[in-house]
Amino acid sequence: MPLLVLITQRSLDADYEHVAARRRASGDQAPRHPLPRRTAAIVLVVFGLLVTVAAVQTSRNASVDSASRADLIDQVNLRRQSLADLQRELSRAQSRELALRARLTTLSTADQAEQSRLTRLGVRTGFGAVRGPGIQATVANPPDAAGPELIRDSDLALLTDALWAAGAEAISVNGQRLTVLSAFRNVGVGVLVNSQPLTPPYVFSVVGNPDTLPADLLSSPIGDQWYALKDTLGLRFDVKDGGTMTLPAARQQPLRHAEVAPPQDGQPRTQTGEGGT
Amino acid sequence: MIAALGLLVGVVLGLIFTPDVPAGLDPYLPIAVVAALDAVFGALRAYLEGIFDDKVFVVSFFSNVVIAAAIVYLGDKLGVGGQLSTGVIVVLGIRIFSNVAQIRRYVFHA
Repeated sequence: MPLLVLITQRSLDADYEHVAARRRASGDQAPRHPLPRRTAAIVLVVFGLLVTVAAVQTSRNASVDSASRADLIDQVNLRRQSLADLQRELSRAQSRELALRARLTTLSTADQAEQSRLTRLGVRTGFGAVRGPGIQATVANPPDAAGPELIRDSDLALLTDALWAAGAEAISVNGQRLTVLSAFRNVGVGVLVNSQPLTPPYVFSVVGNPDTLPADLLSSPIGDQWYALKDTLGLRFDVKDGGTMTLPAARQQPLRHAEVAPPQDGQPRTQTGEGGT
Repeated sequence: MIAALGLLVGVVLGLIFTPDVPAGLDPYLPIAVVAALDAVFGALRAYLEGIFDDKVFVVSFFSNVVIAAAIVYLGDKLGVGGQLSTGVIVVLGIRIFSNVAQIRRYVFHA
């Protein structure tokens, strides 16, 4: 039998038929007690309660559902708004970053220029280490010299001047780099440079053109004076090719009182910066 | 008469107290209501045919409700709750329709 037909034909609970058939068989007339009637009424009370509760619950849930839906829509709109805000902020930050990057490029270019200028100044003034070809000139006291025959600060200063005049680019004496502030000074029988005592023989390491330096030293007027002095005092003087030499940087004296003056109108900054050279 | 009064009292009680259904029983309430509706229409038809019996009505009412809810509960546990409740609703709906058709025949003698 097809399912739908079966369901349709057996739509009434078969128990009713069973009970009616049994009652007919026993010859009993259908008893109509008041009590069972009341039972049916109580069941109907339960049924009404069930239906009402289900309806109330459904309508309550509907309000909750629609509330949560509206809430979700609100949240979506809110988030969308904040997303747009964030995107605007992002684009602002990006343009700011672009501007800052451009400024950084400008500043780092200027910084590089200043750094290379500082390096050049350091090489020139003696406060930066240098490396290059050059000569080694050694000056020593004559044998058995004593007292006034010993090499004095003025002698070394004359030789230094002669070397600068001959085209020296950097000079160190016994490892002491000569700076724009360096001076030879007599202390007793010794000579100080950069406040450090020197012991003879005095070895001048000179960075410059090793091919022309000795010749220029001979031909320059101050070089002439130096050679005359050397011959007079009988100093031993020896010039040789020094190969590629590395001259150390002089120790910088920290500035305790001097400060950088603010740049003034009509007074270029370079005038104060390179005043010592 | 007393049956209609009982139904009215139930509805009023439900409206007054609006008891909260536990969240766990929430999905089974509509199915239980449909099953109860089937039992009530079956009873009405039996009454009109003259074979109504209180005991059968009480037993069929509660057993219908419990079985319908249990089937859907089992379906939920097995992951076919939606399909099973659809099947229960279809069967109960067909029964309700044919019972109502029978009742109509008795009432209007059509």
